[in-house]
Amino acid sequence: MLKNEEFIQDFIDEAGSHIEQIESHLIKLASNLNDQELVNQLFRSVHSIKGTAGFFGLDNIVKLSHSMESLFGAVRSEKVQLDDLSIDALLEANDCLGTMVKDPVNSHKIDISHYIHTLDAILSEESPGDKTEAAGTVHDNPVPSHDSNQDIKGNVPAVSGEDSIRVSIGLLNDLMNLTSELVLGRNQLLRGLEGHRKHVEGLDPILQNIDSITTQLQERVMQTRMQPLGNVFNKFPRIIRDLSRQLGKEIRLEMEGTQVELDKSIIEALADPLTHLIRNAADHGIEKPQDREDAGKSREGLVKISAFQEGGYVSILVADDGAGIDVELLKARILQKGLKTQEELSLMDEKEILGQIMQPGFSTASSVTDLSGRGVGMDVVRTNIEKMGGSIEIDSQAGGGTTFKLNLPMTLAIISSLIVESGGHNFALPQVNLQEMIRVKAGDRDRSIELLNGYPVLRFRHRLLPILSLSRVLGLSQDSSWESLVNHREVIRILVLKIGDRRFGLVVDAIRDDEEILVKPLPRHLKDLKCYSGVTILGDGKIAMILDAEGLAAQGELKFPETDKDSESRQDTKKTAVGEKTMLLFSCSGTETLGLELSQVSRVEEIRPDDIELVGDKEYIEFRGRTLRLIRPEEYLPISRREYDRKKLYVIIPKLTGQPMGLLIGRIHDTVVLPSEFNEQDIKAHGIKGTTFWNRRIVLALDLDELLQKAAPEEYGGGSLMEANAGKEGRY
Amino acid sequence: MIRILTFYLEGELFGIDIGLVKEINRKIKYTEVPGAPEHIVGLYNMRGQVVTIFDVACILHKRKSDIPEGPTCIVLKNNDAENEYLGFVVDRPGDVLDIPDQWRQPLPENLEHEYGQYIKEVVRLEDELVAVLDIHRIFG
Repeated sequence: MLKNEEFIQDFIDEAGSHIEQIESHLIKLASNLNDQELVNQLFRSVHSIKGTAGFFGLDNIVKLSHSMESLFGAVRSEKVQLDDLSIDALLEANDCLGTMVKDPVNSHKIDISHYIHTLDAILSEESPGDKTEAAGTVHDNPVPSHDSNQDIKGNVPAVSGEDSIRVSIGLLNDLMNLTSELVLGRNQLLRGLEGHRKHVEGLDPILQNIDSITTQLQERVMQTRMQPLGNVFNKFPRIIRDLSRQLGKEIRLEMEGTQVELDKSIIEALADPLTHLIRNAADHGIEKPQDREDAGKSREGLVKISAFQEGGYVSILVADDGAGIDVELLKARILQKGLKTQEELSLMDEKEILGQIMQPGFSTASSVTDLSGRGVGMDVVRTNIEKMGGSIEIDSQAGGGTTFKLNLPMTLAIISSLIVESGGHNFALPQVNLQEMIRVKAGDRDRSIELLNGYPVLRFRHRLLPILSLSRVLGLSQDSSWESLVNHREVIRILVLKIGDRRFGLVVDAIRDDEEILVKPLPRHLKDLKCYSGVTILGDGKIAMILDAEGLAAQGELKFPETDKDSESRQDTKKTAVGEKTMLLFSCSGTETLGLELSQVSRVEEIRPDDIELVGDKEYIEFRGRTLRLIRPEEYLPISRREYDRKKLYVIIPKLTGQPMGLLIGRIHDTVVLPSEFNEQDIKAHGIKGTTFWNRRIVLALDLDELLQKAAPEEYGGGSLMEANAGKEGRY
Repeated sequence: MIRILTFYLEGELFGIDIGLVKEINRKIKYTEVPGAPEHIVGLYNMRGQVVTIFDVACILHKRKSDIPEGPTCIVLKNNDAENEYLGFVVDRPGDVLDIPDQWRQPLPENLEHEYGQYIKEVVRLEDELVAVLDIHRIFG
C-alpha cells in the first residue's frame, strides 16, 4: 500500500527531527517576527518533509506541508507578515504534521482541512503596512533558495550532520555489555599476571597498554548512550508559550546547559518530571502580571531551567521568580491535614518543611490553591527522580520564587556503591541511599541501641533511628531476639539509609569498599525479591546483589516514627491508668530534654538574662523582694552546655526547698503524662533518676533531691530533701 | 530420532534435548541469593553474563544431599526476547545420545503428578531408563 515502505522508518526519524526543529524555530520567530534566517530554515525544513513524503506517496503530509511551505515562502518574499495568531496557527499545523509523521501509514485518515484552511486564510491576507521596513531586510539577507531545492532533487532525506550515522539501541547495549565483560577480563588478566610482570620481559608495557585502552574504550562506549539535555528542554518553550496564553500571564523562559549530557534512559525518564515542574512554575509559581506589578516586580515572570555537571552528577535547577511558598501557611496546611504534629514540625528546618509538599497525600489540586498550588503530583515527581537514583530539593522564598534542584547520576548503568558484608555474603548498596555510617561501641553514651516497644532503635544525636539487621531481614540469621544487638560487646556497624525524608539504620557485619558498579537487572526468577534492585559483577568477578533500601524497609516491616506514633500514644494512655506521672519537660542550654515531676514544681518564672546578678561565683535573681539562688542544672549533670543566646529564660522554682533556689533553664516544652517507671540502665549520674521517651525523644528524669545536694551541698549536705522539707509546700 | 544430553541428579539418570543446551561448566563459583526460593541455587557469572542457577533435583522433590562445592552446571541457551541465561546443577554429566524413535516411550500413567509433570518422555536404554525433562515446564 505504501511506496518504498522499507525506508519508512528513516522517514519517521528524519521528519520527526524536522518537526521538532520547526517548533523551536517558530517559537523563536514569535519573539522576532522579522528574522529572515529563521524563516529560511523553516521553509527548508517543511520543504524537506514535503519532498520525502511525496517519495512515499503520503498525500496528506504533502498537502499540509505544502500549505505551510507556501506560507513561509510568502513570508520570505514579504507578501505576508506573520503575527502571534499566525504563529499559533502554524504551531497547530506543525503538531498535526507531527502526528501524521509518527504514523505515516495512517496519515491519510487524519482530517487536515481545518489547518489548510487557516493557513490559506493567512496567506491571502495582505500586509502592506510592514512593507517598507521589511524591504530592507530582504536586501540584507538574500534568500538561499538553492539549498532548499537541492534537498529534494535526489529524494535523499537531508542528513543532519555528515559525521553521524544511525545505530540501533540494541547494538549499543550489546557493545556496552561486551565492553563490561572486557573490563572484567582485563581485571582478571592483570590480577593473574601480577606476579609475572617483572619476570616476563616486555609483559609490563603490554599489560599497561591493554589496561589503558580498555578503560578508554569503556568510557567511549558509555558516551555513545549520552544525549544532550536539550533533547528534553526543547519542548519547554512551547509549553511556556501555550501556558502563558492560557493563563493570561507574561512568562519568559531561560534555558542554560542544554549541551549537558546524560544517559539516554535518564533523558527519557526526565521528560515527565521536568515538564511537571515547568508547568507548576508557570501555573502556580508565576503570578498574574497585575499582581506582580502590585508586588513591585516586573510584569513578566521568569522561569529558568539550568543544568550543570557536578562531580559524577548532573544538577538541574528549575527556578521561578513567582510568589514562592509561604512556610507558615504550609505548616498550617500540614497540621490541618494531620500529616505531622506541631512537635514534629518544630523539629524540622525550613527545607524539611518545604519538602513535605513532595510527600504522598500532601496535596490535592483543590486544597492547595492558597499555597500557590504547589505539590500537585509532586510526590510522583519525587518518586520518579529517586527511581533513577537521583534526588530533589526545594527552596522557596515567600514572594521571591521557588527553586527545585534535581541531582541526577550521569548514567543509570554505573552507580557508586558501598560493598557491605552480612552473614558471609557481599552486597552492594547504592551510595545514593546512604546518608552516613555509624560505629556503635559497647557502652557508648552518645549512641546506643535500645528497644522501644520491642523494636530496636538507635539513640543518636537526640533522635531515635529505627534499625534493621541486614542478616535478619534477609533470613541469614535465625536469632529472633534483639538481645545480641542491645547488649553487644563488639563494635556494631550501622548504615544510615534514607528514603525520601525517612531514615533508618541497617546493621551489617562489615563494611568493605567503595566500588563503581555496573547495574544489571534482576533476573526474572528473582523479581519477587523486594530487597534487591539489581545484580552486579564485582571487580573480582563475583556476583553481588544490589540492595534496595525501600524493599529492605518493607521486608523488615520497619515502623517509621510516623507510623508507630499512634501505637506509642495509645500505650501512653493505657499506662496513665497504672503508674504514671505528670512531668514538666524542658531544656537547659543544651539540646537534651529534661523532665521534672510537676508535683515538685512550685512555679515557673520568665526572666531576662540581664536580671541575673553575680555574687561571688554564684548567681542570684531578685524575685518578689527576695533573693533566689539560681542553679544551672547542666553544671551538675552529664548534659551539654552552651551559652544562652535567648532573650528570655525561665526559672523553675521547686516546691519543698528549704532555701530559696531556682533552676535556670532555656526552654519549656510541655507538661505530659509519662510512665512512672524509668529506664535506669543506660544513663547513670547523680541527679538523674533515669530515662524515658517522649515523642521519640529521650527524656532525662531529674532527681531534684540529688541535684540540689550536688549543687548546694552547704544547704543540702545530708538527709533527704523530701523529708526535711515535708509540709512546706507552696511557700512562694 | 532425538539427540539428548544425559546427566545424573541424586544418582538418577535424566536427559534433556541437546538443542537446548548452551554449554556445560564445571567447578562453578556462584553467589547465593539470600531470600530466594529454595530451588534457586544462586547466580553465576558466565563471562559477564548473569546465569540464574536452579536446583532441578529440588524441583523434582529428589534433593537429598547438599550441593557440593564447585558443582557442575548445565547452562541453557537463552531466547533472544529475554536475554537471560538459566542453568542447573547436576551431579555429573553423562553422554550425548542419539535416540531412535522406537526407544522413546510415553510417560507411565502411574508417575506421581508432582514429578511426572516435569517429565516429557521416557527413553529406554539397554539397561537403564532416562527421564527426559520438560525444560519449559521446569523453568516456567
